[in-house]
Amino acid sequence: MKKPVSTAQAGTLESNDISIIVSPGEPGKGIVIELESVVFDQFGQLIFEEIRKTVEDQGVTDVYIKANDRGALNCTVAARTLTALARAGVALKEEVL
Amino acid sequence: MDVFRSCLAVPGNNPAMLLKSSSLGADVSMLDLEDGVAPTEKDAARLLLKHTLKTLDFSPSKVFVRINSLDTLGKEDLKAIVPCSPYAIIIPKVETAEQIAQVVEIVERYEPKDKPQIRFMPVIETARGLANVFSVADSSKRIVAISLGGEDFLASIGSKRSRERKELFFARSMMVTAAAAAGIIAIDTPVIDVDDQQGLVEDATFSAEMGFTGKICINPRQVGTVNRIFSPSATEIKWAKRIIKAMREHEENNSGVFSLDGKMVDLPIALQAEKIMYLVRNYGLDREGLS
Repeated sequence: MKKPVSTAQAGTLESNDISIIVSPGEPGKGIVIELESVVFDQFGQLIFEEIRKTVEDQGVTDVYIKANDRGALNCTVAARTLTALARAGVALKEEVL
Repeated sequence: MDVFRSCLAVPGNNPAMLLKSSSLGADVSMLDLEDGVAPTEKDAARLLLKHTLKTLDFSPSKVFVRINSLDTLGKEDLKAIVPCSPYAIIIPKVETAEQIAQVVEIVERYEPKDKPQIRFMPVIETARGLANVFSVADSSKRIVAISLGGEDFLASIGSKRSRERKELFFARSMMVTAAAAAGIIAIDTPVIDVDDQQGLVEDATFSAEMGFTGKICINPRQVGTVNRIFSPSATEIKWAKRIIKAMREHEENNSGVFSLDGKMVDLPIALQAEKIMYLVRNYGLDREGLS
C-alpha cells in the first residue's frame, strides 16, 4: 500500500470547488476523512464516499484528509483528491494521469 | 467545412466556470490549460479537465482544449485529454508543419478508435509562425481552423498594440488568405479590454469584413456581440434565399448566367449566397427566426 510522504493541498474555497489537504496518517489507522461542506446534510455522505473511493483506487492507506467543500461535483472531488495525493508524494496510477 | 463564431476562453482550473461555460451561448468552449492557468496549478487543471470532460456534457458548445506547447507540458496534456475525445485540440505557438506532425503522432497514440477523429486549431503567435502559416494550415486533414494570437505576435515583431489595430493588418490578411487556400476557417485574436464594447464591435466588424469567421472571447460579455457580428444579417439571408431560388429556376431552364434586380448573377455570387445559407444552417438562424 502507498502512503503520502508529506502534507499537500489542492483545490480552492471558491464556489463549486473543494479544498483537499492530504497528510500522512497514523500507521494502521487507514483512511481518515474530516469533511466540512456547504451541502453536508444533502451530499456529505456522497462526498465522503467519492474521496474514499478515489484514495482506495490509488492503493493509498494511512492517510489523513481534511476536505472543505463548496458545492463541488463528484468529478471535481476526485480530481482535487488525486492532485493533493500526487503533491503529497503518491505516485498515481497511469490510467488517471 | 467546420464553422464557428465565438470561442469563449475558460480557465481549465476553475470548476464554476467550466460548469457554466456551455450555457453562455458560445459556439466553442475553449477550455484552457495554457495561459489561463497559473504555472503552479497546471497539474491540478489537467486532472480537473480530464475528470470534467468525462462527466459533463458541454453541448451545444463544441469542446476545444488548449494545451501547453509541446516543449513545455503539452505532451502530458495530450496524454490526459485525448482519451476524453474533445472536439478539437488548440495547439499554441505553432511555427512549423513539423510541430503539427508531432501532435498528430501523439494524438494517434491515445485517441479512442470508436470516437470521431479529434480536430486541431493551431495558433500562430510569432513572426516565424506567420511566415509559415500556409504550410501549417495545410499540414493535416485534422486542422479545421487557424487562429491568431495577436498579443504574442506583436511582441515577437516588436510592435505595440493600438486601439485601431492597424499593426495587425498584415498578419490578419495572411491568416485569412492562408486559411482560405487550405480550405479551412480563420479565427481572430481577442479584444483584451473587456469593458470596451464599442471597440469590440468595431474590431469584430473589421475582422468579419476581412474574412475571419469568428473571434476568441475572453469574457462571456463578448459572446453575444461576436455571434451577432459574425452571423449573416437578416438582409443578407433574404438576399441569399432569393439568389438560390432564382438560380434553381434558371438551372432548370439551363440558362446559365442570369440577372436579378438588374444585376448579373454568376458563379461567385451564387457561391456567396450558398455560403450564407450554410452559415444559417450551422448557426441555427432559421430556428431563431432571423431569416
